[in-house]
Amino acid sequence: MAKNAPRARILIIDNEQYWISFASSDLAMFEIVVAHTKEQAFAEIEKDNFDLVIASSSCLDILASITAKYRVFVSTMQPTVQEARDAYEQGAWRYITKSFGQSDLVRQVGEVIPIPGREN
Amino acid sequence: MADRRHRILVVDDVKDWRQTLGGSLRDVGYEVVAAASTPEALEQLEQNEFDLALIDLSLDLSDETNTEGLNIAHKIQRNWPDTKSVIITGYGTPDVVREALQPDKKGRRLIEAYLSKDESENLVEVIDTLLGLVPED
Repeated sequence: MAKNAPRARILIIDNEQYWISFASSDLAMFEIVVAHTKEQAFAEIEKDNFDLVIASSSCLDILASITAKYRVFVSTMQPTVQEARDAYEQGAWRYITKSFGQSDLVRQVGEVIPIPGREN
Repeated sequence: MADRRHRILVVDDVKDWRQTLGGSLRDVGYEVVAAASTPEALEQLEQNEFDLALIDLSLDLSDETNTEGLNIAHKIQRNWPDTKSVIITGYGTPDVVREALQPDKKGRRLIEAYLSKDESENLVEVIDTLLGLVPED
């Protein structure tokens, strides 16, 4: 990839600032845009193109409208069978558990978009 | 009644469930074959063509993971890719749902639907939808 190539863009839709900070730090090699509310999320989705969306499970009611346009990871603090089913049935690409320790987030994101510096 | 000339394999180790699930599908016109175990299911799949397999998640009491049904779904995906798989279960965990419904790198899912046995009254509707049937008005 060229040295000055634009970074891939990830939209995080969440209102848990602690996790947003943690995820943004993990994913610092990407351009991160944050939407704290569903209204902000719709505005960002309409305005710009993203390579991936990471949406809180509180967004399940709008998930189908997002998965129609983007690959979406649905993130949750407390995974449940019903929530996982709902997420996948509405087109989620991944249903991930929010982690504050050693995170698997970069590896999972890397399955969708190339990690800068690790492309062949 | 919609034209349901499809063959469905029902896999469940509990006879009452095989009869309940199979009966619901036969009542609306599907051809149903029942299997009580993985070996029986694989034998049926090798001998007959099935449009869909309805598989209980927990088939083997000795399987501590209670996910033997997913093993059958993996074999179906590999060996009989034209057969759709549906998991039905009274158990399950988010990790099981992930394995069952998460798309792979090619966008394929292991199964078409994941049903709870509490929702078995919706079974015909789900199967009709997966097999592309439209009810007559």
